[in-house]
Amino acid sequence: MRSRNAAWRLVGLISCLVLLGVFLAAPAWAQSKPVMVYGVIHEYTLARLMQMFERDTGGKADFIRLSGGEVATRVLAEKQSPKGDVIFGISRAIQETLKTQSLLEVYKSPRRADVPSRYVDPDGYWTGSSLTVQGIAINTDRWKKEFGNAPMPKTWEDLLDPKYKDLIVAPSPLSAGTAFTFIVGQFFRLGEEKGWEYLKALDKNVRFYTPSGIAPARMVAAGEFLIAITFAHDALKAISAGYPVALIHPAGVSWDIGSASLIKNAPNPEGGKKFIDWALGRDPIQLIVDLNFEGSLRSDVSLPMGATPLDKLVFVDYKLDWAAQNRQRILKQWGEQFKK
Amino acid sequence: MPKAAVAREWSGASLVRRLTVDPLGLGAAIIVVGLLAVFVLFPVVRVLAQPGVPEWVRLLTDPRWLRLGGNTLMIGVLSTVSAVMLGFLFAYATSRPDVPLRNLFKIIAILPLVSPPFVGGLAFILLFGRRGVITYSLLGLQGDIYGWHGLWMVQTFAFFPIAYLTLAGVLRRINPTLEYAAQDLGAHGFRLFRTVTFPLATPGLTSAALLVGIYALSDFGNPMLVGGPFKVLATETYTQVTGWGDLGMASALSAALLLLSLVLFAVQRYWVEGRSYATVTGKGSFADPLPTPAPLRWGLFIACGLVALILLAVYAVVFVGAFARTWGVNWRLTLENFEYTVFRGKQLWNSIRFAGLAALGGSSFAVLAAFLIQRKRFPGRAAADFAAVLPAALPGTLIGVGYILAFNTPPLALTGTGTIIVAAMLFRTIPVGYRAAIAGLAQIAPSIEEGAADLGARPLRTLWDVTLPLIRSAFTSALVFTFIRSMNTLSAVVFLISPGNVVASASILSLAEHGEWGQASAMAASLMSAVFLVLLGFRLLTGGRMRLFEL
Repeated sequence: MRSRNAAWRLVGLISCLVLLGVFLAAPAWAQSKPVMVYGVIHEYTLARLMQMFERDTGGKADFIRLSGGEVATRVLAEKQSPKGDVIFGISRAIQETLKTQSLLEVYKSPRRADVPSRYVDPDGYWTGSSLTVQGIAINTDRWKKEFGNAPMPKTWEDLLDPKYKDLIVAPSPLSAGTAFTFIVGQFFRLGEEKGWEYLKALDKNVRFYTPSGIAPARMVAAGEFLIAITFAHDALKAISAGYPVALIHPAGVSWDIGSASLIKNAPNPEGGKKFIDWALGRDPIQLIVDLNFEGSLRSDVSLPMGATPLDKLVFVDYKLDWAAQNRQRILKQWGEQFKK
Repeated sequence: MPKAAVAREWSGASLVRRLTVDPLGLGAAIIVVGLLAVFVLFPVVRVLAQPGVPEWVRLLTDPRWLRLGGNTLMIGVLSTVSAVMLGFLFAYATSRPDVPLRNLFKIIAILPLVSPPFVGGLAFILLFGRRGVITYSLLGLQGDIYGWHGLWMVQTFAFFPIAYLTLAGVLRRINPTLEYAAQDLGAHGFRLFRTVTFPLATPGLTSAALLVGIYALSDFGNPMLVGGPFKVLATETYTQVTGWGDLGMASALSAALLLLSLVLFAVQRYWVEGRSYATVTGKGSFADPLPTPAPLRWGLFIACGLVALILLAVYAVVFVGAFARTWGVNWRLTLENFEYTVFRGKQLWNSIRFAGLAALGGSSFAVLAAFLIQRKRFPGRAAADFAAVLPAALPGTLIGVGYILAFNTPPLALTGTGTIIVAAMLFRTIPVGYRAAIAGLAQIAPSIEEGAADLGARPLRTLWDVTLPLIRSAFTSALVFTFIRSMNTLSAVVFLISPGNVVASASILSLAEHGEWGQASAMAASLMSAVFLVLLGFRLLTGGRMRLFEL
């Protein structure tokens, strides 16, 4: 008798577990095929964008948010059987790398006409979506406590003052596109040789380099550090949230653009094209500007809140070809010189 | 018996004989070995086959990698020692029935496991960083958390629950009559502890040290967040993958990490092998444990209490942050932060069902594998044992990339599905349940099972009525651990999530990375609440018979 009881208990427990398993596994049943977007811009903005796409077009779209480097690795690893359709918001230097690895598909969206031709790939692989500019973020609370009424740094050279030792935080170019933009920006401003000297001098004041490009602005907002090398939109976001942060654009601002492209052999190319055409339109771009504080390449979209108008900034002459061609060499050299 | 038949019996494959004697055991062994081969060994082989000769040469000649290796080893040893000590402290305190608040300590000890990545670390920075609430505002210190010392602290708190879970089960099973016997023989106080309790906990301690050591070596989130200028192999692997797209170098670095883990593994093997720790022998009976001497009792209480206070502060920061308008600036209460959690509610549900499947499958698999490997002899047994602990030695990034490489094309085209996420969660946490079950089984003398068999119980009956109840705590620890860990896992699944299969931990990272601390902690708080609700529901469902958190 006891033996049969034990057997029944075993059967009962196993069927309970199986039922629970089926219940948990059930929602995997296929629905209509949505557009799959690998997005590099902010998670919340992407979610709102997908919602708006569904409302505007009736199509379905879903996304995952990854860093630029993660997207590149993922698309490469999935080469044999791609799972994503669209890459959205990624830096041009990475688009160029993906292009040379033939991981992208040519798609000349009709929206290319809406943005200046310097922001689209002449070969038709990618189209610019947003403009990001570099700056310095300073925690104003800490500044008042530690430096009182002293003037804040105005130029890149001001950051070399020894009084800022260990107070500066900067991103590492080995993993953050932001930092690469900053480094080549200094090369375009000073020439490469002087540029390396500048970076070495700055390194004396940098506490360490963060893996993420967004982290420095966040750390300065929280008061962990005084000064951050950052993209403007990350600082503007902190300011709009109420953090005591000031954003300064020294002369010689480096910049980058976010861009959209179609993945080669995408599972849903038609949906992907439809998404790109829609996302580069006025309203979606305005949404990105409003939520993400990035600049627009379209003339019919307003500036992000709190941003300096572009004609007030002194930009460096950013040579994309040179940057893309020398990226690996620069990163290697940087990795050998800077250990923090 | 005809001669021919005898010859056939002896010359024929022993496999056939075993099939007739123990078909269930053999079938299970084949499944266990097969699954471990496909989901653990195959992806690792795919990754290790990736680097070419230049990468191996660079790994061995570049002083940068040697320095990183040294860093990794140093922090690994420091964190392991301190986390195991803390884990032992909690396990020992909660195993004494007369230590005040012991049930509260039991819950608090597993809190760090419930902590979602980055937000827990972020809370540490907000508490102990340069402008930390405790270090700066309260104590007026200009402390700097970034570096090896900060990492040591964070890792100690992050990993001691793993040591605690392993040790709690072991300590609870030490028969108090042994301590009575020792006392009768004249051993008191520290001598009793040193000569009886501590040695009996040795298999648990070495298991715990092995697990914590491997977790610390391959930890990625904490060095990323608080390591600052102190870089380790796991973060460098990530950099190689994401920054350089260099799968070859990343794989070579992972191999170095793997080597360190294998050394640990060998040391632990050497230590435990050849000693008997069987204390549940069936002879004698359990008595109430000895009363704890008052100084020790209060010492344990104060030590655990201090740690508990720190941990509570960390989680208070997360929950306060979830309801505060702007973390650190405007503490006015609001529900706005939860808007996004509700808006993307499917992510939370994905986390729950993926982690639930991984926990059910993983803990059953771990206990089954441990039982087979401990008690049966079959070909590939040593390899299966190795494969079952190997995942703990693998950096999450490596598992993620390995799974993509291995399962992107037929015959097992799993990328883009939820299945691959469940598989990664399941096999990544296998070592915990497996080691716990092995440690549990090592304490059970086979004579009990043999006794049951002599009394006429068939193998299944012996397993169900004798062995399983004795390793039930290993099963439930594995269930709880896998569920909690999978709810929060990140570095492996970040490569495997696909649109429609996003899990909450990935969103929390995104939100935290973008400085949306309010939304991040709202989702983190929801995730933690979900973990507790699911576990509570499970406990009610099983009529309180399932032991969770050793409660």
